[in-house]
Amino acid sequence: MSASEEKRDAETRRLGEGATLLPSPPLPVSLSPALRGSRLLRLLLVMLFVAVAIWPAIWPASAQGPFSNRLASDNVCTVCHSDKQVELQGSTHAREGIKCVDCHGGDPKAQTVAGAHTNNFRRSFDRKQIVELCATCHSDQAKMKPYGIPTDQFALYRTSVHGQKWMQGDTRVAVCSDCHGHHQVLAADDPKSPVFRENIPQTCGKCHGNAEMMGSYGLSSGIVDDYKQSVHGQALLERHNRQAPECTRCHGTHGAAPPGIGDVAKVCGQCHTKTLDSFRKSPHKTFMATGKQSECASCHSNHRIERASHQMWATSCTACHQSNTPEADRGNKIQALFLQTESELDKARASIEAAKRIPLDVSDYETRLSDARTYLVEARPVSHDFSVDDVEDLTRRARSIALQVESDVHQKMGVFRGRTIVLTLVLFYILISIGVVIGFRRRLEARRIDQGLSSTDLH
Amino acid sequence: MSTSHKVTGWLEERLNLTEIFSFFTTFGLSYGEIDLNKPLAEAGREAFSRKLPTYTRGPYILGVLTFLVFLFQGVTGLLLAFYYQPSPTAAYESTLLIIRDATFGWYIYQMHHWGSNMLIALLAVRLARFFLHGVYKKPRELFWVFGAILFLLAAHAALTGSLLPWDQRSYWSVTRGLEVIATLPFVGSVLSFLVGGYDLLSGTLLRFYVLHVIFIPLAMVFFFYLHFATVRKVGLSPLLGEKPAEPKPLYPDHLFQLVILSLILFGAILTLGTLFPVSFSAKADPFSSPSGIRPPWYLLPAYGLVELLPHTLAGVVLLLVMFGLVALPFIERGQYRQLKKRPLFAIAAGAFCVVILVLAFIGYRRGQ
Repeated sequence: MSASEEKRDAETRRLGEGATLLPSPPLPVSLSPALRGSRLLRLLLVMLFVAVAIWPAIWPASAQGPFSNRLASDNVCTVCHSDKQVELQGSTHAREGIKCVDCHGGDPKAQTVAGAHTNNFRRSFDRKQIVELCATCHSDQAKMKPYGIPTDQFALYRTSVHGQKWMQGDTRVAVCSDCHGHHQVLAADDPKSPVFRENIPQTCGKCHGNAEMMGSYGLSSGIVDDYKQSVHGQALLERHNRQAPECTRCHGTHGAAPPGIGDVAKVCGQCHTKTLDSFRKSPHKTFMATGKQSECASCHSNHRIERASHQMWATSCTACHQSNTPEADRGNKIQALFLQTESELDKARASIEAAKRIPLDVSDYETRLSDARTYLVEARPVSHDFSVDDVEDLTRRARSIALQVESDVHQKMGVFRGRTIVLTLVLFYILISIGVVIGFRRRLEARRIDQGLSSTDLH
Repeated sequence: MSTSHKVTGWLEERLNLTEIFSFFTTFGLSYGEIDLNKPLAEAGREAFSRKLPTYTRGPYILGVLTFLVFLFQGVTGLLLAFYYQPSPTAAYESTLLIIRDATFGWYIYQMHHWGSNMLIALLAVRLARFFLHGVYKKPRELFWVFGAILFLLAAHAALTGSLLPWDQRSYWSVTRGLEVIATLPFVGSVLSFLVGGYDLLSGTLLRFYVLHVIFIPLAMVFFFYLHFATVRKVGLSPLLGEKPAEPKPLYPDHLFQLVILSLILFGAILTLGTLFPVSFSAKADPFSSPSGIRPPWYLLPAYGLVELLPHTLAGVVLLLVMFGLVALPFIERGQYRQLKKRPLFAIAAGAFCVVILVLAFIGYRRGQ
């Protein structure tokens, strides 16, 4: 047995059976005799010592928070749990200096395994404890203040459907770690984070797309797929438009709950403000206030919201109203106004494109057509008050500009028609010229024959 | 005495007009010597009345038309150069100025475009005619050599010219064309060095402009001159199975033919330019490659070859084809001119044409 092994056994006996020694720290590097005692070496060592001593004073800490004054040596847990260390390493918690001990307890300076696992050590947490554990810091104003993180998340969670059930002892509902992860908690603006905007549908879908789990709550598991096919889902997931709403934008994050029937318009109206303003003036508003029908979702659906088109006027109105009623007729009139305006704008656009190919300068007409399209875009939210006059007012302006643009471009394209006329005239002139040349040549030839001269004597 | 005679007489007392205008003969546009001691009118009468081979008729007309189109390109190009500015910041705007605001600018722009295509097509048809009629048999090998060199020069003139509008279509079309040229071993790297790299940068536009308006036209003038010189030395190639046509004087026979030909040619180019104008897209954007861009039509077979074979191999094949094209009279050295008496080359030429068409089709499809 080697000396080091004997020493290790003796230590084990001293500490008692079962206690396992942590690996010994590496031995200091032995210096060669030539270097040992060298003045230069001593000087270097002194400088190194001074540098280490004043380092925190001259170099700003990478993390400025309540956990930032920790030293790496305060976390010997990683000697054995290196896999967890790897998980924790890239997390936002690790960046702020949070160590294993902050959640799991224990003694991070202990020299033995048994010693490390004392001092209120908690190996793991059940789903009930996880929420409370996170709340110990995230509800603490003093700790969260430096990061600007709100401390009402736990309170909000308790108001959510998840939180309500959690308080009733249902541990299958989502808790903090289900969305944020355990050791690898990343900031919400990190694209790798499960709560990054584009990842949220997938994160919520882990449970809400699980048919078995949702079935036990009497909920549909198809809403995530519905969302992915919706105009919002396509904007976010396919075109990466982060302005498009995901689950939390309508349902909330920590206080997640489905909006009530009467609140749907308020939720949609957070983004579709103009539409909401118009809808509040509509005859539907009074009826829907009774709570018998959902405001926006009645026509546009909730999760599978399709891109609104003018065709909807023909189908949505008759879903509730008889086809021969004034209400259905109003829908048809509004649809006709939109389709007519679209058609006029398309014709004006086609004229501009044709003029561009000539090419003519059409930048002015493009600007005017853009104005016309703005009126059409403005008419779409306005149409939610179901007033034909309001829609007519805006679409008439758009049509008027489009017709004027088309007329002006058509006039300008007269240049092109002029070119065809010029071509015809020039070709006619060429034919005449050829005729004149041939005629002149024949006259010369006739004169040659008359005079009995050879062709060389003609000039 | 008419005013023109008075003016001519006054000038001839002070300088030798005949000597000045003798370049027509020197350049090869007229046969025979001109006596520099005679007055211009008399020397002109001699030159006009001298009997010339029938180069304005029959298949020989291809050569005349080629030269007329070349002159036409020179004139229209000169007019365009009055307005054009060869820099990436001004090229597009100056081209727009030409086609929108300059008087007849649009017509000249369109006719210059169609003239370049016509020049290449005429030179290609002329080479085909040379092959079918065995024109390049001894002692007329140089007819083919100069014709092939003129064809290559015309293609390069068109390629360099098509970049000048600096719009998206021209920019990306030439980029595709340069991809073909870049594959040529040695020649590709030299050309790349000359134009300032394979990427079309500001220096490239200026170099293309210089090549287009100075270097290539001068080279073409030089080879036209060499061609006229060899025609004067060895004469036109007689047609197969026909007696040589009786020579006719320059005036009135040839001159009238030339006037009528020029008018028809002008009408044809104007008609093409007006009815099928070349489109003009947005300003060139090196960071936005539009779809459906392919190289100019005369580079499509080469583009197809580059797409089909590894680049190095395609470059070697292209170079060999180009050398083979120029050196054909020294490869096919048989004495017979009739196609049926040289079946091997007839079959090879037929296969070559089929391959060219197939490669052009591949290039066209790849460009979509």
